[in-house]
Amino acid sequence: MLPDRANPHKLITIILPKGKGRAKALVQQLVFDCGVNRVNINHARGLGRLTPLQHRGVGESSEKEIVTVVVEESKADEIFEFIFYAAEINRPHGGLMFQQPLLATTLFSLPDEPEED
Amino acid sequence: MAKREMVVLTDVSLITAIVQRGKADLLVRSAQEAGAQGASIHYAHGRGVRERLGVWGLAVEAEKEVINIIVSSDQVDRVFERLYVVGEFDTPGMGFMWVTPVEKAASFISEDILEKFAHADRRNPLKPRSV
Repeated sequence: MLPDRANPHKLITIILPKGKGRAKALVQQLVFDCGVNRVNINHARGLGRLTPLQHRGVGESSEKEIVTVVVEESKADEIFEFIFYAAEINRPHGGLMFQQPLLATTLFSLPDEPEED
Repeated sequence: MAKREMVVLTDVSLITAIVQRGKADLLVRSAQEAGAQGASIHYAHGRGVRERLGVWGLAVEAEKEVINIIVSSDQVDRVFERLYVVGEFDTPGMGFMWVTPVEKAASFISEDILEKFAHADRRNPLKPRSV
C-alpha cells in the first residue's frame, strides 16, 4: 500500500506532567469527543529550568507522559486548540505541546466492534 | 463568557538526538547552557553500528537515550552545534541527531514574559490570539 500523500496530516505532540492522569483523560476525550484514533502515550523524563522543583537547581528531572496524535490537516488547528484547554496546558507547569507537518501517513481504521472497558 | 487566550509560539524547531544510555543528562545540561529551556528524554534500543565496532560489540551501548529539545529557530544552530561537540557526534557510534520543523507550539506563558515580548520588535515570535 502506498503512503497517503494526498491528504496531508499533522502530528501533535503533548508533553504532560505525570501523576494526574491527564494523559489518559485526554486520550479518552480525543477518541470519544473528537473521533481521533491515532493516539499514543509514551513515557519520558523531563529536564527544565522552570520546573516546580526549580529551587533545587537547574536540571531537575520529573516524569512526563507524552501523547502523540495524528490528525488531518483540516482539523489540526481545531484539535490543537481543543487539546490546549482539555489538557490544561494553559496553567503553570501544565506542559508543552507542538504541531509538526507530516509528509505521508497510512490509514488506521479500527474494526467496527464495541469497545471494551 | 470570560475571554480565553492561547499564546502560540512560532519559529521554533525540534532537535532530536539519539545517544548512548547515560549521556543524555550531560547533553541536556550543555543545551541549557546554550539557551535551551528544557528537554524530554526517553529510552530506546538501537542496533547497527554496535555490531560493527569494538570487540564482540561491547564498545557501543545498545541501550539508547532519545533527547527531544524544543528551541527557538534563532537558537537552533547554536544548540545543535553545542550538542554536536559535547556529544562527540563526529565519532562513529556516539549517536545521531536531527532537526525537524515545528509549525507551532503552545504552553503556559506568564504575564510578565508576555509584556516583555509585547515591547519587542516586529519579529516577535509570540502571537497572542483571542479565542
